[in-house]
Amino acid sequence: MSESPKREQWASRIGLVLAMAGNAVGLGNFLRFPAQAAKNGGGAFLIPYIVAFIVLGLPLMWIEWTMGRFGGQYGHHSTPGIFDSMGRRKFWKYFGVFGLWANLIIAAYYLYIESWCMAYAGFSLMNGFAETAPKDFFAKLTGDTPNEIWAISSWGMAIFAVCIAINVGILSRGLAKGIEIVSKIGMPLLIVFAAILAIRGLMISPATDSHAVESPMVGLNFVWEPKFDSLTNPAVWLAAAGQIFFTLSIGMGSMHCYSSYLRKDDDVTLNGASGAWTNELCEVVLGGTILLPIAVAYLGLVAVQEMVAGGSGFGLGFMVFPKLFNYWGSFAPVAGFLWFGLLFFAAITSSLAMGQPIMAFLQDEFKFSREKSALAFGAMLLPLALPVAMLHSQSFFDEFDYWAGTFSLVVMAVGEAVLFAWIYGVDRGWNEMMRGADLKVPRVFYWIMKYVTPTFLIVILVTSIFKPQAGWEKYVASVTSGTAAPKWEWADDGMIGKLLHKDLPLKEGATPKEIAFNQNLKLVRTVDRGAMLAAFAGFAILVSIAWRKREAEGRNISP
Amino acid sequence: MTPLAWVFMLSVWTLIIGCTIYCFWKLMSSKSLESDD
Repeated sequence: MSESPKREQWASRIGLVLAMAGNAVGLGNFLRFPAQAAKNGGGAFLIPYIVAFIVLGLPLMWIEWTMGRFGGQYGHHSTPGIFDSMGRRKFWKYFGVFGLWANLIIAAYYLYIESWCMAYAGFSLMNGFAETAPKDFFAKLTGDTPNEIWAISSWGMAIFAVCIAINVGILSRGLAKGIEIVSKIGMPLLIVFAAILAIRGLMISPATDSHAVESPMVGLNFVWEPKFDSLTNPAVWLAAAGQIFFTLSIGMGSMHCYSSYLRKDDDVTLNGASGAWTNELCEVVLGGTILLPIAVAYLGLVAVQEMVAGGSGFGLGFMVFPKLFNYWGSFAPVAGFLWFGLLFFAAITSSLAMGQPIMAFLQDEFKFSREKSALAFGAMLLPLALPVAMLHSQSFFDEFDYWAGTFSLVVMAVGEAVLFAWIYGVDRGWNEMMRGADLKVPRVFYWIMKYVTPTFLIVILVTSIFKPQAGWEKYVASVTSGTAAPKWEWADDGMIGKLLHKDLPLKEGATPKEIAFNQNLKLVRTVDRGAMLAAFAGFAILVSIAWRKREAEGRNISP
Repeated sequence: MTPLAWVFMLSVWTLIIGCTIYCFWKLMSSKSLESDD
């Protein structure tokens, strides 16, 4: 066994756990979760959600922590090497490319959203939303105009550039002095900011606030009132599994990377569980108590139900919330700053985790220094980030979000669950996981990791590839109750539907401008897919070169 | 809020807050944390 020459270390265990939790806690905790819960059965959604957390979330967290620590012992800090050390077939190191590629593609648009949070926080603090409508601010920030393919905003791009520079700067300081310090400051602040907003939000009363139309408790009830009939709907179970999956940042390669800096006998079970539960605290307790209660108090239940019907609270958080804070008088600028500040901290602790695996790969394989690898990450990001910022959000932004931010994560999770439980072997994997464990994991998880988690993931993958527009529940019902199955049509948010541009329908009676825009979008999306494939091929070539180099240098390390 | 919504919310909150506190209590009291810090 050999170690990489300049192996970095985490400075403290609490720093590592906060960095891992920061990696998991993202915008989805505060924007997507409440909308998903309200859409999928309220309190009853939490039943499949917690089941998914136990059979999917926790096992995958432990699998990724264990794989990372294992690969780290052989000098690997990114998934090509980590998977290669466990799989010992050529295929696995190339499969590990997903753990580099997805981080780069996701970072290209995630950092853009992060820059919005920064801009919104600053503008809120200057009380800018007292005069400017959030929608106008957003349009100026992004340059997005209906039916225009170009979306250029010079100051929006300048803030984006600053945001990239901040991330590159922090990454260049390394694990202990960069990521760990930001997580130690950012995570507690995020929780404090969220707690202040939640308490202030729950204090809204129509009796004392003339703008309030409902009690915030109506919004809380909207999130938590259980609708038990939803439990028989397979779509609700899939939605719960999807939410758990994405909220924990599973299938990205960032968790493997962070845990690869552990020592051989360091704990992974308690660390992994701590990070996962902290994420749940931020998502369910805090995330579920801010967005919808405040929105319902000022806009009414019906209006908010319509706004979150799509299962995302994004529009509510960016387009509506700043206006609602104006009802809080002199506290409004602070409230806006706290809201977008917490979103910024949630975003930056995640985006840093996207840069580290790519940097680690360059450091391990091409002996880049920390600073040089951080700059290289920034340089790789630019050609992908520029079209995200300069073109309509329905083009590069949406495509990156689907293919890298959604689909690829499931593909990678399926692969790693199979690799861990069936290729490396669940017995060896279990022993590896339990070495140095501070938390004794119940034996039932052995069986869950072997059978339940891979099966659950394969179901998620298959149903997201072959997704019908009418929803799987209609077809299940046709089998169980004998009703006629609806005509098959690909869903616009399924993999095949996306591939066929089903999410870009041309409405009847479209104007020539709308037709041209639609055609341009399809063309740009095709170019965009080419760019993603090129990026994947580029990483695969780098992996191939790196392994040849390893062989030539006689350091082709495997257990 | 309906009583059932209260029951669901408080049960889930108790579970999550309880597990988070337990994990951090174990983390803080573990030897490796002391030796690391």
